This record gives sequence, C-alpha cells and structure tokens, in this order.
Amino acid sequence: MPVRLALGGLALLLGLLIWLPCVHWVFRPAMGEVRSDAGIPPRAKELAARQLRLWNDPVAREAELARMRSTNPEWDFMGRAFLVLALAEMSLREPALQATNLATMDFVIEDTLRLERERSMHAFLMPYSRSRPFVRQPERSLFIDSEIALMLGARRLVAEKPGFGPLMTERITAMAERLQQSPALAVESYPDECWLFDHAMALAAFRVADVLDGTDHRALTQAWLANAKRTLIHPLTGMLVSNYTAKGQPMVGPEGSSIWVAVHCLRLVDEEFARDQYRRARRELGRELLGFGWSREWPLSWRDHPNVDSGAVIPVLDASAGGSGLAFVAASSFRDEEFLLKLHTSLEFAAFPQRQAGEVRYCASNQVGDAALLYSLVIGPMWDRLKGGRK
Amino acid sequence: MKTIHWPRGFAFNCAVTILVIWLVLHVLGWRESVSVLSGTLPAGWNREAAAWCAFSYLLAYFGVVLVTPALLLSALFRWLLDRSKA
Repeated sequence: MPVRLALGGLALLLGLLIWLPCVHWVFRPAMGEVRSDAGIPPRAKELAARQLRLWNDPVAREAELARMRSTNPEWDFMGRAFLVLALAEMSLREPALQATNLATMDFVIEDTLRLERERSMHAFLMPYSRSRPFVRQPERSLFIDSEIALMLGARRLVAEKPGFGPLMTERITAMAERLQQSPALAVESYPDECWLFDHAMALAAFRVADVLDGTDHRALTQAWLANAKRTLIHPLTGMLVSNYTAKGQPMVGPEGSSIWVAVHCLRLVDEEFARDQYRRARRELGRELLGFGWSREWPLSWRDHPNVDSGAVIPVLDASAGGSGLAFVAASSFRDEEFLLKLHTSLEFAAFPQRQAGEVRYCASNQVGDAALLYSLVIGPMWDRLKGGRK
Repeated sequence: MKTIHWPRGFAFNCAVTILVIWLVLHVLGWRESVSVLSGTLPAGWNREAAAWCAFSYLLAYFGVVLVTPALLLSALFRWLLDRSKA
C-alpha cells in the first residue's frame, strides 16, 4: 500500500509539474487583442462598450457609482478621469467615434463639475479630508484640480468646446499659483498631505495647457522636478515616494498605486527621468511567474498595511489589486510589451471577465478599475501629440 | 499504525468533485462576489456574505483551473502505469 500511495503522489506531482507551467497559455491573449498602434484593440472596444452603456444608463450608473462610493468616493472621481482620457485617446485613434465619445466626455465632465459645485470638493474625497483644516487656505485639493484640468484638456485636445477653456485655465492658474507659493513645491490633496500621483497629473495638465493655450509652465515644471529629485527620492530604491507633508517631508515610501501612473504623466515633462523611474518600479514592484505578471504595492525594502489604495494584497505573491491595475497604464505607456502581456494574462486568469453582447467587465474589478484598464489599452496618440507639442 | 491508501480513481474523483463544486457555485452566481477583491461590494450583498462567498468561489475556481487538470493528468499516468503492469 505505501507503494500505491507513493505512486499516486508521484503521479500528482508529475501532473502539477506539467500543468502549472502551461496554465498561462490558456489565458494569454494575442498581442493584437490588447495593443494596436493604429485603431482600437478589440479588448478596448469591449470595455468601452460597457463603460459607455453605464454612462448612458442612469440606473446602472448610479448603482455602480454608489457601490464604489460606499468604499471610496475617490474611485468615482478617478473612474471619470480615466474614462475621459480613454475616450479622448479613442477619438484620436478613430475619428469616426468622436461624436459619441465627445458627448459622453461632456456629460461626464459636466456632471463632475456639477457635483463639485453642489457638494464641494469633499464629495470626491475620503471623509478624512474634513478631519482637520488644510494648511493652505482657502482649501483646495490638487487631486480634484489636476484631474479636472486634465479631463477638460483631453476633451479640448480632441475638439475645442466653448466654455471649457476658461474652466481649465482657472484650474491651471490655481495649481500653478499654489505650487509657486509653496517653498517645498508641494500642494495638498488632503490636509497636510501631498501626493506624487496628483503632482504628476498636475504637470501633465500644465503640458496640455501649454500646448492648447500657448502658456509656458516649463520653468515651474523643471523646478518641481529638480526639487523632487532632491527631496522625494526613497534612498533604498531610488524611486519617488508616494506622499509627503505640505513642507515636503516624505510620509511613506514608494507605492505601486502611485508610481505607475506618475511615471506615465512624467513622460510628458522628463522622458529620461520617467523611464528611469519606470525601470526602478519594474525591478522593485513588477513580478512575473510562470507566464503571469503582477505588481506589488510596496518594494521589499519597506511596506505598509494593505489600504484603500493597495486594494487586496494576495499573501505570498504580494500581488496588489491597486498596484497591478495601474501597472497596465505604465507598461502600456512605456511599451513594455512582455510585461503588459503577462499582466493581461493575470487579468484573464484572476479578474473574472464577464462577457456579454460585445461588452466585457471584470467581476474582481469595478468601474474605476475597468476605466483605468481601458485607458491603458488605448494610450498613444494624445500623449504623442503632447510630447510633440502639437494640438 | 493505520496505512494510508491511494485508491484507484482517487485523483479522477477529486477532479470531478472540485469541478462540480465550482459549477454549483458558478450557477448560484457567486462569481459576482469576487468584486470584494477590489474593495467593492456586489449590489445587494452584505459584506460578510460577500467575503464568504468570494472566498469559497475563489477556492473552487483556482481548484478547477490549477488542480483539476493536474489531477486528471495524474489519473491518466496511474491508468497508464496500471495498464503497463497488467
């Protein structure tokens, strides 16, 4: 009998040794499904169909946004920003989609501005935004200003819309003034809390304004970059830290949920620095095993507790839902196709796609996750135009 | 000391059992509960129920995807071995 047990165990071990290295082939998409230099990849079309239906169906939209807002109102806001950016990229890739996409972009932007007007910026911030006063008064959040400016700019890059120019200029001016007036070049998103993610978004928005309106934020941008390289670099990894005080004191180390989008935005203002940060993030946070790819939230040299930004962190693998979701944006932006394919393989394997009538959504995700993913699938023409300084 | 047996067909039966469990959970719609991974509750579920269903579904799903094919392969190897002995 022990012989039978040993044989059974050996057969199972052999089965695992054969099967596990093959699993990824079941889930690995063809590159053409998820990446295209011209036109829109099929996966993006499926995701966009779902997102557009959501935004054109008030009941479904309200239910989906309420689900996210009950955990984190920021997700509602970021889902809007990623969707608008994605629709802008798609409109530039396929001009025939412009009419539909612009209508949705306008609706999303106007609805966002309406909510902010009626319920203040706190409508899109976590409750601790009211826990104490902002250091800089009157209170404003760079998180809100930068993403609204970028949404307005993306829309205007596709086609100018009367009224959106002044709205964007107001945000850009407010952000620039606050940056200039801060000795540490740090603007709060929450009380005494400044985020790399939001500063990188603000720099991208400055770039859009310079291209669209002929302003010049290069000196301010260069000053921020020089200061960041001097004061915001985590000594053990060489990566930018995630957040810091209004005096520019780092509060935490680097995080996947910040760095991946930050490096994508920094590409517009300092390609070499952004690429170096991407390489470091890939080394410190990017992980691959048996054909699957994912992102850690924290490097090995420091770690925090799982939180609303990291999302669930899978033990042993240290795969972070938030970090991995945003890693798509950076991998696509930097054309890291091998890592991108491995991320997509993991997505198909462990995010539980639900396909129906030409639409896809991921059960393990939510609207903001799917919108970020959609954006990652279509990144290209808009960023190329901005880098080239073309309207 | 009790001898541990590895009955004939054990691997195959395990594979089928995992598959059936997953199918039942899938038909029950528990796939929706995995949205807890992104910190979002599925519509109409309470937190505890969603977490429990998501855990069960994930276990069954990864069992089907990672373990079931290996069990079927091992059943095939045992069958081939037994045949070669016979």
